[in-house]
Amino acid sequence: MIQVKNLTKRYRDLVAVDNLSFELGAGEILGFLGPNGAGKSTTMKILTGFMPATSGSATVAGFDVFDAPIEVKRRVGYLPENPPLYPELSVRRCLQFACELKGLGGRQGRAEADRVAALASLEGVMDRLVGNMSKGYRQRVGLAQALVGDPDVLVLDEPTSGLDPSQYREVRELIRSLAGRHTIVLSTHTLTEVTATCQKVLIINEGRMVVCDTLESLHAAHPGATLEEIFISLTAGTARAA
Amino acid sequence: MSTEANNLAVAAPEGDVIAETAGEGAAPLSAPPSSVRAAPRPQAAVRARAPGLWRAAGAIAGKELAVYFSTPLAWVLLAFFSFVMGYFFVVNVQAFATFTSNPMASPQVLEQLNVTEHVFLPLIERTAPMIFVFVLPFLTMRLIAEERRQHSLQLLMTAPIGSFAIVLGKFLAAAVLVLAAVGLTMLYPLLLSLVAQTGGLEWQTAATAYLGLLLCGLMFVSLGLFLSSLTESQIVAGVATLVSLILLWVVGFAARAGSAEGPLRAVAEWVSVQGHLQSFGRGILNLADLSYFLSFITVGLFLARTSLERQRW
Repeated sequence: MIQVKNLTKRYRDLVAVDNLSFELGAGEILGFLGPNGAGKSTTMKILTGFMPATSGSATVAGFDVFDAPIEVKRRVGYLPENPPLYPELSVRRCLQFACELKGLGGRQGRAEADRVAALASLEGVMDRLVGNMSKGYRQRVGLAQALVGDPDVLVLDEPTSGLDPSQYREVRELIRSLAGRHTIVLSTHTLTEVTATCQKVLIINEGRMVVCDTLESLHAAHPGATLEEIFISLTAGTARAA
Repeated sequence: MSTEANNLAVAAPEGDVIAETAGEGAAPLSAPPSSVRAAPRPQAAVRARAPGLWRAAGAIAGKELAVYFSTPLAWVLLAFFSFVMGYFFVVNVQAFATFTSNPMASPQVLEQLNVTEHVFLPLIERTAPMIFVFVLPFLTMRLIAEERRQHSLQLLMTAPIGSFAIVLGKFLAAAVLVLAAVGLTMLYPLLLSLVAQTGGLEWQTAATAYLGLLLCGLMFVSLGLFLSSLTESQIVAGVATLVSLILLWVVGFAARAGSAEGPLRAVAEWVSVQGHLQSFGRGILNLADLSYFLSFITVGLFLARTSLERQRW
Protein backbone atom coordinates (compact mmCIF):
# COMPACT_ATOMS: atom_id res chain seq x y z
CA MET A 1 0.00 0.00 0.00
CA ILE A 2 2.88 2.35 0.78
CA GLN A 3 6.29 2.05 -0.82
CA VAL A 4 8.98 4.53 0.09
CA LYS A 5 12.29 4.28 -1.77
CA ASN A 6 15.40 6.26 -0.96
CA LEU A 7 13.38 9.20 0.25
CA THR A 8 15.52 12.21 1.01
CA LYS A 9 14.56 15.68 2.13
CA ARG A 10 17.16 18.36 2.39
CA TYR A 11 16.74 21.91 3.60
CA ARG A 12 19.92 23.51 2.30
CA ASP A 13 22.53 22.06 4.67
CA LEU A 14 20.15 20.21 6.94
CA VAL A 15 19.16 16.70 5.95
CA ALA A 16 15.79 16.03 7.50
CA VAL A 17 15.20 12.64 5.91
CA ASP A 18 18.11 10.60 4.67
CA ASN A 19 17.61 7.80 2.20
CA LEU A 20 14.57 6.33 3.87
CA SER A 21 13.06 3.15 2.44
CA PHE A 22 10.25 1.01 3.75
CA GLU A 23 7.11 -0.77 2.68
CA LEU A 24 3.76 -1.17 4.28
CA GLY A 25 1.12 -3.60 3.15
CA ALA A 26 -2.60 -2.98 3.02
CA GLY A 27 -4.31 -3.04 6.38
CA GLU A 28 -1.13 -2.89 8.38
CA ILE A 29 -0.38 -0.42 11.13
CA LEU A 30 3.09 1.07 11.26
CA GLY A 31 4.39 2.67 14.42
CA PHE A 32 6.74 5.46 13.47
CA LEU A 33 9.14 6.14 16.32
CA GLY A 34 12.03 8.44 16.78
CA PRO A 35 13.47 11.20 18.91
CA ASN A 36 12.10 14.68 18.38
CA GLY A 37 13.40 16.22 15.20
CA ALA A 38 14.25 12.83 13.72
CA GLY A 39 12.24 13.38 10.57
CA LYS A 40 8.94 11.70 11.38
CA SER A 41 6.74 14.70 10.66
CA THR A 42 8.71 15.55 7.55
CA THR A 43 8.26 12.04 6.18
CA MET A 44 4.55 12.23 6.88
CA LYS A 45 4.28 15.60 5.16
CA ILE A 46 5.92 14.09 2.09
CA LEU A 47 3.63 11.06 2.13
CA THR A 48 0.57 13.27 2.23
CA GLY A 49 1.76 15.57 -0.53
CA PHE A 50 2.15 18.61 1.65
CA MET A 51 5.77 19.00 0.62
CA PRO A 52 7.93 17.32 -1.99
CA ALA A 53 10.98 15.20 -1.38
CA THR A 54 14.39 16.32 -2.55
CA SER A 55 14.93 12.89 -4.08
CA GLY A 56 13.57 9.39 -3.92
CA SER A 57 10.02 8.26 -4.38
CA ALA A 58 6.91 7.55 -2.37
CA THR A 59 4.00 5.54 -3.68
CA VAL A 60 0.72 5.46 -1.82
CA ALA A 61 -2.21 3.23 -2.83
CA GLY A 62 -0.54 2.64 -6.16
CA PHE A 63 -0.04 6.31 -7.01
CA ASP A 64 3.20 8.21 -6.94
CA VAL A 65 2.99 11.20 -4.62
CA PHE A 66 4.95 13.35 -7.02
CA ASP A 67 3.24 12.34 -10.28
CA ALA A 68 -0.36 11.94 -9.14
CA PRO A 69 -0.76 13.99 -5.98
CA ILE A 70 -4.51 14.48 -6.33
CA GLU A 71 -5.10 10.73 -6.55
CA VAL A 72 -2.97 10.19 -3.49
CA LYS A 73 -4.71 12.92 -1.52
CA ARG A 74 -8.07 11.43 -2.32
CA ARG A 75 -7.04 8.26 -0.60
CA VAL A 76 -5.16 9.62 2.37
CA GLY A 77 -6.50 11.01 5.62
CA TYR A 78 -3.95 13.13 7.43
CA LEU A 79 -3.85 14.28 11.02
CA PRO A 80 -0.90 16.70 11.38
CA GLU A 81 0.87 17.48 14.61
CA ASN A 82 -1.32 20.56 15.02
CA PRO A 83 -4.83 19.61 13.98
CA PRO A 84 -5.88 21.98 11.17
CA LEU A 85 -9.01 23.53 12.64
CA TYR A 86 -10.79 26.87 12.45
CA PRO A 87 -11.40 28.21 15.95
CA GLU A 88 -14.23 30.48 14.80
CA LEU A 89 -16.29 27.61 13.45
CA SER A 90 -18.31 24.89 15.10
CA VAL A 91 -17.19 21.28 15.07
CA ARG A 92 -19.98 20.43 12.68
CA ARG A 93 -18.97 23.18 10.28
CA CYS A 94 -15.31 22.15 10.38
CA LEU A 95 -16.18 18.55 9.62
CA GLN A 96 -18.55 19.55 6.85
CA PHE A 97 -15.81 21.65 5.32
CA ALA A 98 -13.45 18.69 5.45
CA CYS A 99 -16.12 16.62 3.69
CA GLU A 100 -16.54 19.24 0.98
CA LEU A 101 -12.81 19.26 0.39
CA LYS A 102 -13.03 15.55 -0.27
CA GLY A 103 -15.85 16.00 -2.75
CA LEU A 104 -18.67 15.18 -0.36
CA GLY A 105 -21.08 18.06 -0.22
CA GLY A 106 -24.68 18.75 0.63
CA ARG A 107 -26.64 16.00 2.31
CA GLN A 108 -23.92 13.46 1.68
CA GLY A 109 -21.41 15.75 3.36
CA ARG A 110 -23.61 16.22 6.40
CA ALA A 111 -24.15 12.49 6.72
CA GLU A 112 -20.44 11.84 6.42
CA ALA A 113 -19.69 14.52 9.00
CA ASP A 114 -22.07 12.80 11.39
CA ARG A 115 -20.50 9.44 10.69
CA VAL A 116 -16.93 10.49 11.44
CA ALA A 117 -18.11 12.47 14.44
CA ALA A 118 -19.69 9.31 15.83
CA LEU A 119 -16.46 7.41 15.26
CA ALA A 120 -14.52 9.99 17.23
CA SER A 121 -17.22 10.29 19.91
CA LEU A 122 -18.00 13.90 19.16
CA GLU A 123 -21.79 13.71 19.02
CA GLY A 124 -22.31 15.81 22.10
CA VAL A 125 -20.17 18.74 21.04
CA MET A 126 -21.06 19.21 17.41
CA ASP A 127 -22.25 22.75 17.85
CA ARG A 128 -19.49 23.95 20.09
CA LEU A 129 -16.92 26.35 18.66
CA VAL A 130 -13.60 24.65 18.11
CA GLY A 131 -11.78 27.56 19.68
CA ASN A 132 -13.54 26.89 22.96
CA MET A 133 -12.54 23.26 23.20
CA SER A 134 -9.83 21.52 25.10
CA LYS A 135 -6.83 20.04 23.37
CA GLY A 136 -8.20 16.54 23.73
CA TYR A 137 -11.41 17.42 21.95
CA ARG A 138 -9.60 19.31 19.23
CA GLN A 139 -7.42 16.29 18.71
CA ARG A 140 -10.53 14.18 18.22
CA VAL A 141 -11.98 16.64 15.72
CA GLY A 142 -8.70 16.45 13.81
CA LEU A 143 -8.92 12.68 13.88
CA ALA A 144 -12.51 12.79 12.64
CA GLN A 145 -11.37 15.06 9.81
CA ALA A 146 -8.73 12.53 8.85
CA LEU A 147 -11.40 9.82 8.67
CA VAL A 148 -13.57 11.73 6.21
CA GLY A 149 -14.17 9.88 2.98
CA ASP A 150 -13.05 6.53 4.34
CA PRO A 151 -9.46 6.90 3.12
CA ASP A 152 -7.39 3.85 2.32
CA VAL A 153 -4.45 5.26 4.20
CA LEU A 154 -4.35 7.16 7.45
CA VAL A 155 -1.30 9.18 8.38
CA LEU A 156 -1.55 10.21 12.01
CA ASP A 157 1.07 12.43 13.56
CA GLU A 158 0.92 11.94 17.32
CA PRO A 159 -2.83 11.26 17.44
CA THR A 160 -2.91 10.68 21.17
CA SER A 161 -0.83 13.63 22.27
CA GLY A 162 -2.54 15.70 24.92
CA LEU A 163 -5.29 13.22 25.65
CA ASP A 164 -6.33 12.21 29.13
CA PRO A 165 -6.23 8.46 29.96
CA SER A 166 -9.84 7.67 29.07
CA GLN A 167 -9.70 9.69 25.82
CA TYR A 168 -6.41 8.02 25.09
CA ARG A 169 -7.95 4.61 25.44
CA GLU A 170 -10.90 5.55 23.24
CA VAL A 171 -8.64 6.76 20.48
CA ARG A 172 -6.45 3.71 20.82
CA GLU A 173 -9.48 1.45 20.47
CA LEU A 174 -10.65 3.48 17.51
CA ILE A 175 -7.32 3.06 15.76
CA ARG A 176 -7.35 -0.65 16.44
CA SER A 177 -10.83 -0.95 15.02
CA LEU A 178 -9.67 0.77 11.86
CA ALA A 179 -6.97 -1.79 11.22
CA GLY A 180 -7.54 -4.12 8.34
CA ARG A 181 -9.77 -1.77 6.45
CA HIS A 182 -7.27 1.05 6.58
CA THR A 183 -3.52 1.18 6.33
CA ILE A 184 -2.20 3.33 9.13
CA VAL A 185 1.07 5.12 9.69
CA LEU A 186 1.14 6.55 13.13
CA SER A 187 3.87 8.42 14.89
CA THR A 188 3.93 8.63 18.63
CA HIS A 189 6.07 8.95 21.69
CA THR A 190 3.79 6.71 23.70
CA LEU A 191 5.41 3.31 23.38
CA THR A 192 2.52 1.49 25.04
CA GLU A 193 0.39 2.71 22.17
CA VAL A 194 2.79 1.07 19.75
CA THR A 195 2.70 -2.27 21.52
CA ALA A 196 -1.08 -2.08 21.73
CA THR A 197 -1.90 -1.17 18.16
CA CYS A 198 0.99 -1.61 15.75
CA GLN A 199 2.29 -4.62 13.95
CA LYS A 200 5.33 -3.01 12.43
CA VAL A 201 7.71 -0.53 13.92
CA LEU A 202 10.02 1.89 12.16
CA ILE A 203 12.56 3.71 14.26
CA ILE A 204 14.12 6.76 12.69
CA ASN A 205 16.93 8.86 14.06
CA GLU A 206 18.49 11.96 12.52
CA GLY A 207 16.67 11.26 9.30
CA ARG A 208 18.03 7.79 8.92
CA MET A 209 16.17 4.57 9.45
CA VAL A 210 17.48 2.64 12.37
CA VAL A 211 15.24 -0.39 12.14
CA CYS A 212 12.04 -1.39 10.40
CA ASP A 213 10.58 -4.67 11.53
CA THR A 214 7.57 -6.35 13.03
CA LEU A 215 7.17 -6.11 16.76
CA GLU A 216 7.82 -9.82 17.25
CA SER A 217 11.06 -9.82 15.34
CA LEU A 218 12.16 -6.80 17.26
CA HIS A 219 11.44 -8.47 20.56
CA ALA A 220 13.10 -11.64 19.33
CA ALA A 221 16.21 -9.70 18.43
CA HIS A 222 16.29 -8.02 21.82
CA PRO A 223 15.06 -10.70 24.19
CA GLY A 224 13.76 -9.56 27.52
CA ALA A 225 13.88 -5.86 26.69
CA THR A 226 10.86 -3.60 26.69
CA LEU A 227 10.19 -1.48 23.66
CA GLU A 228 11.42 1.53 25.56
CA GLU A 229 14.74 -0.11 26.27
CA ILE A 230 15.07 -1.22 22.67
CA PHE A 231 14.28 2.27 21.46
CA ILE A 232 16.80 3.93 23.73
CA SER A 233 19.54 1.46 22.96
CA LEU A 234 19.03 1.82 19.23
CA THR A 235 18.90 5.59 19.20
CA ALA A 236 21.44 6.32 21.90
CA GLY A 237 24.49 5.76 19.76
CA THR A 238 23.60 8.28 17.13
CA ALA A 239 21.57 10.72 19.20
CA ARG A 240 22.50 14.37 18.96
CA ALA A 241 22.51 16.59 21.99
CA ALA A 242 18.96 17.75 21.39
CA MET B 1 -0.21 -7.60 23.82
CA SER B 2 1.58 -8.81 20.76
CA THR B 3 -0.83 -11.69 20.34
CA GLU B 4 -3.58 -9.18 19.92
CA ALA B 5 -1.51 -7.54 17.27
CA ASN B 6 -1.29 -10.93 15.62
CA ASN B 7 -5.02 -11.23 15.62
CA LEU B 8 -5.26 -7.93 13.84
CA ALA B 9 -2.85 -9.02 11.16
CA VAL B 10 -4.55 -12.37 10.65
CA ALA B 11 -8.05 -10.98 10.68
CA ALA B 12 -7.43 -8.43 7.93
CA PRO B 13 -10.10 -9.05 5.33
CA GLU B 14 -9.41 -9.17 1.65
CA GLY B 15 -7.98 -5.76 2.07
CA ASP B 16 -8.18 -4.99 -1.61
CA VAL B 17 -11.80 -4.14 -1.21
CA ILE B 18 -10.09 -0.86 -0.45
CA ALA B 19 -8.42 -0.41 -3.81
CA GLU B 20 -10.88 1.45 -5.94
CA THR B 21 -9.29 3.29 -8.78
CA ALA B 22 -12.10 4.50 -11.00
CA GLY B 23 -14.80 4.44 -8.44
CA GLU B 24 -17.34 7.01 -7.51
CA GLY B 25 -20.21 6.44 -5.16
CA ALA B 26 -20.63 4.22 -2.13
CA ALA B 27 -20.10 0.50 -2.10
CA PRO B 28 -21.03 -0.92 1.26
CA LEU B 29 -17.93 -2.68 2.46
CA SER B 30 -18.02 -5.98 4.31
CA ALA B 31 -17.83 -5.62 8.07
CA PRO B 32 -14.49 -6.52 9.65
CA PRO B 33 -14.43 -9.76 11.66
CA SER B 34 -15.68 -9.38 15.19
CA SER B 35 -12.27 -10.10 16.68
CA VAL B 36 -11.12 -6.82 15.21
CA ARG B 37 -14.12 -4.71 15.93
CA ALA B 38 -13.97 -2.46 18.93
CA ALA B 39 -16.03 0.52 17.78
CA PRO B 40 -19.23 -0.24 15.85
CA ARG B 41 -19.46 1.17 12.35
CA PRO B 42 -22.81 3.00 12.18
CA GLN B 43 -23.30 3.06 8.43
CA ALA B 44 -21.49 2.39 5.21
CA ALA B 45 -18.90 5.00 4.42
CA VAL B 46 -18.90 7.05 1.25
CA ARG B 47 -15.63 7.21 -0.62
CA ALA B 48 -13.84 10.46 -1.12
CA ARG B 49 -13.66 12.10 -4.51
CA ALA B 50 -11.57 14.86 -5.91
CA PRO B 51 -13.91 17.85 -6.15
CA GLY B 52 -13.66 19.94 -9.30
CA LEU B 53 -12.20 23.45 -9.31
CA TRP B 54 -15.46 25.29 -8.76
CA ARG B 55 -16.79 22.91 -6.15
CA ALA B 56 -13.59 23.17 -4.16
CA ALA B 57 -13.44 26.95 -4.56
CA GLY B 58 -17.08 27.18 -3.51
CA ALA B 59 -16.42 25.10 -0.41
CA ILE B 60 -13.49 27.30 0.55
CA ALA B 61 -15.43 30.50 -0.16
CA GLY B 62 -18.27 29.22 2.03
CA LYS B 63 -15.90 28.44 4.86
CA GLU B 64 -14.17 31.79 4.55
CA LEU B 65 -17.45 33.69 4.62
CA ALA B 66 -18.58 31.70 7.65
CA VAL B 67 -15.39 32.73 9.41
CA TYR B 68 -15.67 36.36 8.27
CA PHE B 69 -19.15 36.73 9.65
CA SER B 70 -18.63 34.74 12.82
CA THR B 71 -16.33 37.47 14.09
CA PRO B 72 -17.09 41.18 14.16
CA LEU B 73 -14.61 41.81 11.36
CA ALA B 74 -16.85 41.67 8.31
CA TRP B 75 -19.67 43.46 10.10
CA VAL B 76 -17.44 46.25 11.32
CA LEU B 77 -15.87 46.78 7.91
CA LEU B 78 -19.24 46.87 6.17
CA ALA B 79 -20.60 49.24 8.79
CA PHE B 80 -17.58 51.51 8.52
CA PHE B 81 -17.82 51.60 4.75
CA SER B 82 -21.53 52.38 4.85
CA PHE B 83 -21.04 55.03 7.47
CA VAL B 84 -18.37 56.94 5.58
CA MET B 85 -20.27 56.63 2.32
CA GLY B 86 -23.40 57.88 4.01
CA TYR B 87 -21.57 60.82 5.45
CA PHE B 88 -20.17 61.89 2.11
CA PHE B 89 -23.49 61.30 0.42
CA VAL B 90 -25.09 63.76 2.78
CA VAL B 91 -22.27 66.25 2.31
CA ASN B 92 -22.55 66.02 -1.47
CA VAL B 93 -26.31 66.35 -1.46
CA GLN B 94 -26.23 69.35 0.83
CA ALA B 95 -23.56 71.08 -1.24
CA PHE B 96 -25.53 70.42 -4.39
CA ALA B 97 -28.78 71.59 -2.86
CA THR B 98 -27.19 74.75 -1.56
CA PHE B 99 -25.66 75.53 -4.90
CA THR B 100 -28.75 74.88 -6.97
CA SER B 101 -31.01 76.85 -4.69
CA ASN B 102 -28.70 79.79 -4.89
CA PRO B 103 -30.73 82.57 -6.49
CA MET B 104 -27.61 84.19 -7.87
CA ALA B 105 -26.67 81.22 -10.06
CA SER B 106 -27.22 81.78 -13.75
CA PRO B 107 -29.79 79.54 -15.47
CA GLN B 108 -27.29 78.19 -17.98
CA VAL B 109 -25.02 76.93 -15.22
CA LEU B 110 -27.97 75.47 -13.37
CA GLU B 111 -28.99 73.59 -16.48
CA GLN B 112 -25.63 71.90 -16.70
CA LEU B 113 -25.65 70.77 -13.13
CA ASN B 114 -27.06 67.39 -12.57
CA VAL B 115 -27.36 65.04 -9.71
CA THR B 116 -25.40 62.29 -11.35
CA GLU B 117 -22.30 64.30 -11.87
CA HIS B 118 -22.18 66.22 -8.68
CA VAL B 119 -23.59 63.93 -6.08
CA PHE B 120 -23.40 60.38 -7.25
CA LEU B 121 -20.22 60.15 -9.28
CA PRO B 122 -17.81 61.73 -6.80
CA LEU B 123 -19.13 59.24 -4.28
CA ILE B 124 -18.63 56.17 -6.43
CA GLU B 125 -15.61 57.22 -8.39
CA ARG B 126 -13.53 58.82 -5.68
CA THR B 127 -14.89 58.34 -2.19
CA ALA B 128 -15.68 54.63 -2.38
CA PRO B 129 -12.35 53.49 -3.87
CA MET B 130 -10.56 55.57 -1.30
CA ILE B 131 -12.41 53.83 1.47
CA PHE B 132 -11.55 50.54 -0.19
CA VAL B 133 -7.87 51.49 -0.02
CA PHE B 134 -8.08 51.71 3.73
CA VAL B 135 -10.59 48.98 4.46
CA LEU B 136 -9.84 46.10 2.10
CA PRO B 137 -6.38 45.33 3.53
CA PHE B 138 -8.10 44.37 6.78
CA LEU B 139 -10.26 41.99 4.83
CA THR B 140 -7.57 40.32 2.78
CA MET B 141 -4.67 40.21 5.18
CA ARG B 142 -5.90 37.12 6.97
CA LEU B 143 -6.84 35.11 3.92
CA ILE B 144 -3.69 33.06 3.61
CA ALA B 145 -1.40 34.39 6.32
CA GLU B 146 -3.76 33.27 9.06
CA GLU B 147 -4.07 29.77 7.60
CA ARG B 148 -0.32 29.47 7.77
CA ARG B 149 -0.13 30.68 11.32
CA GLN B 150 -2.97 28.44 12.43
CA HIS B 151 -1.52 25.44 10.64
CA SER B 152 -4.81 24.99 8.86
CA LEU B 153 -3.16 25.46 5.48
CA GLN B 154 -2.12 21.83 5.76
CA LEU B 155 -5.73 20.77 5.50
CA LEU B 156 -6.10 22.68 2.24
CA MET B 157 -2.80 21.56 0.78
CA THR B 158 -3.34 17.88 1.52
CA ALA B 159 -6.87 17.85 0.18
CA PRO B 160 -7.42 16.55 -3.37
CA ILE B 161 -7.69 20.08 -4.78
CA GLY B 162 -5.31 22.28 -6.71
CA SER B 163 -3.69 25.43 -5.37
CA PHE B 164 -5.70 27.56 -7.72
CA ALA B 165 -8.92 26.31 -6.12
CA ILE B 166 -7.62 27.64 -2.81
CA VAL B 167 -6.80 31.03 -4.31
CA LEU B 168 -10.05 31.25 -6.23
CA GLY B 169 -12.15 30.29 -3.23
CA LYS B 170 -10.63 32.96 -1.04
CA PHE B 171 -10.89 35.53 -3.79
CA LEU B 172 -14.58 34.71 -4.21
CA ALA B 173 -15.23 35.13 -0.50
CA ALA B 174 -13.64 38.58 -0.45
CA ALA B 175 -15.43 39.43 -3.70
CA VAL B 176 -18.77 38.64 -2.07
CA LEU B 177 -17.95 41.11 0.66
CA VAL B 178 -16.99 43.78 -1.84
CA LEU B 179 -20.26 43.12 -3.63
CA ALA B 180 -22.16 43.41 -0.38
CA ALA B 181 -20.50 46.73 0.40
CA VAL B 182 -21.25 48.08 -3.07
CA GLY B 183 -24.77 46.71 -2.92
CA LEU B 184 -25.42 48.61 0.26
CA THR B 185 -24.68 51.84 -1.55
CA MET B 186 -27.37 51.24 -4.15
CA LEU B 187 -29.67 52.96 -1.75
CA TYR B 188 -28.17 56.28 -2.79
CA PRO B 189 -29.00 56.27 -6.51
CA LEU B 190 -32.49 55.09 -5.60
CA LEU B 191 -32.93 57.99 -3.24
CA LEU B 192 -31.52 60.42 -5.75
CA SER B 193 -33.82 59.31 -8.52
CA LEU B 194 -36.80 59.74 -6.24
CA VAL B 195 -35.87 63.15 -5.00
CA ALA B 196 -33.91 64.85 -7.77
CA GLN B 197 -35.69 67.56 -9.65
CA THR B 198 -33.10 68.77 -12.12
CA GLY B 199 -33.36 65.71 -14.32
CA GLY B 200 -33.17 62.22 -12.92
CA LEU B 201 -30.17 60.02 -12.32
CA GLU B 202 -28.43 58.85 -15.47
CA TRP B 203 -28.76 55.12 -15.07
CA GLN B 204 -26.30 54.12 -17.74
CA THR B 205 -23.59 56.22 -16.21
CA ALA B 206 -24.45 54.88 -12.81
CA ALA B 207 -24.19 51.32 -14.06
CA THR B 208 -20.76 51.77 -15.62
CA ALA B 209 -19.56 53.67 -12.60
CA TYR B 210 -20.60 50.76 -10.39
CA LEU B 211 -18.83 48.34 -12.68
CA GLY B 212 -15.68 50.39 -12.40
CA LEU B 213 -15.94 50.45 -8.63
CA LEU B 214 -16.46 46.71 -8.51
CA LEU B 215 -13.46 46.03 -10.71
CA CYS B 216 -11.40 48.37 -8.61
CA GLY B 217 -12.42 46.53 -5.45
CA LEU B 218 -11.63 43.15 -7.00
CA MET B 219 -8.26 44.41 -8.10
CA PHE B 220 -7.47 45.55 -4.57
CA VAL B 221 -8.61 42.19 -3.24
CA SER B 222 -6.38 40.25 -5.62
CA LEU B 223 -3.40 42.34 -4.59
CA GLY B 224 -4.20 41.83 -0.91
CA LEU B 225 -4.62 38.10 -1.47
CA PHE B 226 -1.25 37.85 -3.15
CA LEU B 227 0.50 39.77 -0.39
CA SER B 228 -1.22 37.62 2.21
CA SER B 229 0.11 34.53 0.51
CA LEU B 230 3.67 35.70 0.95
CA THR B 231 3.79 35.78 4.71
CA GLU B 232 2.70 34.13 7.90
CA SER B 233 1.98 37.41 9.62
CA GLN B 234 -1.36 39.11 9.05
CA ILE B 235 0.09 42.43 10.13
CA VAL B 236 2.86 42.34 7.56
CA ALA B 237 0.38 41.40 4.87
CA GLY B 238 -2.03 44.13 5.95
CA VAL B 239 0.55 46.87 6.08
CA ALA B 240 2.07 45.87 2.77
CA THR B 241 -1.35 45.88 1.14
CA LEU B 242 -2.26 49.24 2.63
CA VAL B 243 0.97 50.84 1.48
CA SER B 244 0.70 49.37 -2.01
CA LEU B 245 -2.88 50.52 -2.39
CA ILE B 246 -2.07 54.01 -1.23
CA LEU B 247 0.75 54.15 -3.74
CA LEU B 248 -1.47 52.92 -6.54
CA TRP B 249 -4.08 55.47 -5.68
CA VAL B 250 -1.76 58.38 -5.33
CA VAL B 251 0.87 57.80 -8.00
CA GLY B 252 -1.01 59.45 -10.83
CA PHE B 253 -1.77 62.53 -8.83
CA ALA B 254 1.79 62.70 -7.54
CA ALA B 255 3.20 62.43 -11.03
CA ARG B 256 1.10 65.31 -12.17
CA ALA B 257 1.71 67.43 -9.13
CA GLY B 258 5.43 66.78 -9.20
CA SER B 259 7.41 67.71 -12.23
CA ALA B 260 7.65 64.23 -13.67
CA GLU B 261 8.10 64.34 -17.40
CA GLY B 262 8.03 62.04 -20.37
CA PRO B 263 8.07 58.26 -19.97
CA LEU B 264 8.16 58.31 -16.17
CA ARG B 265 5.04 60.35 -16.07
CA ALA B 266 3.35 58.17 -18.67
CA VAL B 267 4.08 55.05 -16.65
CA ALA B 268 2.86 56.66 -13.45
CA GLU B 269 -0.34 57.72 -15.11
CA TRP B 270 -0.87 54.28 -16.55
CA VAL B 271 -0.40 52.61 -13.20
CA SER B 272 -2.70 54.99 -11.40
CA VAL B 273 -6.06 53.52 -10.51
CA GLN B 274 -7.84 56.86 -10.55
CA GLY B 275 -7.02 57.40 -14.18
CA HIS B 276 -8.56 54.11 -15.18
CA LEU B 277 -11.75 54.78 -13.29
CA GLN B 278 -12.47 57.96 -15.19
CA SER B 279 -14.02 56.42 -18.28
CA PHE B 280 -16.40 54.37 -16.16
CA GLY B 281 -17.57 57.59 -14.61
CA ARG B 282 -18.39 58.99 -18.01
CA GLY B 283 -20.66 56.12 -18.92
CA ILE B 284 -18.11 54.58 -21.26
CA LEU B 285 -16.74 51.05 -21.25
CA ASN B 286 -13.20 51.61 -22.34
CA LEU B 287 -11.34 48.49 -23.40
CA ALA B 288 -8.01 49.77 -22.13
CA ASP B 289 -9.42 50.47 -18.70
CA LEU B 290 -11.29 47.17 -18.57
CA SER B 291 -8.17 45.26 -19.45
CA TYR B 292 -6.17 47.18 -16.86
CA PHE B 293 -8.40 45.90 -14.10
CA LEU B 294 -8.93 42.42 -15.50
CA SER B 295 -5.25 41.79 -16.13
CA PHE B 296 -4.32 43.10 -12.71
CA ILE B 297 -6.83 40.74 -11.13
CA THR B 298 -5.61 37.80 -13.20
CA VAL B 299 -1.96 38.48 -12.44
CA GLY B 300 -2.72 38.87 -8.74
CA LEU B 301 -4.49 35.51 -8.60
CA PHE B 302 -1.78 33.83 -10.62
CA LEU B 303 0.94 35.19 -8.35
CA ALA B 304 -0.95 34.08 -5.26
CA ARG B 305 -1.22 30.58 -6.66
CA THR B 306 2.46 30.55 -7.54
CA SER B 307 3.30 31.63 -4.04
CA LEU B 308 1.31 28.70 -2.65
CA GLU B 309 2.93 26.29 -5.07
CA ARG B 310 6.35 27.61 -4.17
CA GLN B 311 5.85 26.21 -0.73
CA ARG B 312 5.57 22.79 -2.29
CA TRP B 313 8.94 23.24 -3.85
